[in-house]
Amino acid sequence: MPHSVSREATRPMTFNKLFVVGAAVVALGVAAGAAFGQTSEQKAMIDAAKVQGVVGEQADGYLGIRTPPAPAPLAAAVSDTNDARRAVYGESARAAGTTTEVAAARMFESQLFARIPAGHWYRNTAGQWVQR
Amino acid sequence: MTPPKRLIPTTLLVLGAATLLAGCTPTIRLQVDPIQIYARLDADVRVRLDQELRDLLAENPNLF
Repeated sequence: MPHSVSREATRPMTFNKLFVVGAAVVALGVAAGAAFGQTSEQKAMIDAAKVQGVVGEQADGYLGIRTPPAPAPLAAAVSDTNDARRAVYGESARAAGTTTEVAAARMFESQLFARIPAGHWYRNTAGQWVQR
Repeated sequence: MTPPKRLIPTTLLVLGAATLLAGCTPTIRLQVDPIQIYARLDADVRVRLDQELRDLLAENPNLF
């Protein structure tokens, strides 16, 4: 009798393990999807929109649409890129021991701002769109 | 004799204004400037974060 009870107890455990493995696979897939979700076509679309002043970098470390509403493919490109950025900012933040928000804002401050070419628009810390 | 006496209230006014400004400015800047948040980070975290972000940019040119 105690033997059969322990067997019954192990069955749900196996299910739990399967569930955990399954959830991990799904989570990895989602993470990979976010990191590689942005295609080269989307990158080209964003670069063109930056030249037109439709899209710009923001002080929070993400892309923003300066003149909404944007066409659906462009809005999706911005959204996919921002999701992927959020994921990598999170990794850097964890490695350094700070938050995703601080890492993202620091990215703009230390790297992205200096790379903005003259004529492009960016959104400053006060939330205003400014032309470089 | 008279000019130095006039100077005293003026100096006090300037000092008072300077004190008020000095008292207010950091409070305003804390709300809008991420540099202020960043400045409160531990020095080690700052150095580590900047290195991480440089690597991040180099490894993900498609995202920036």
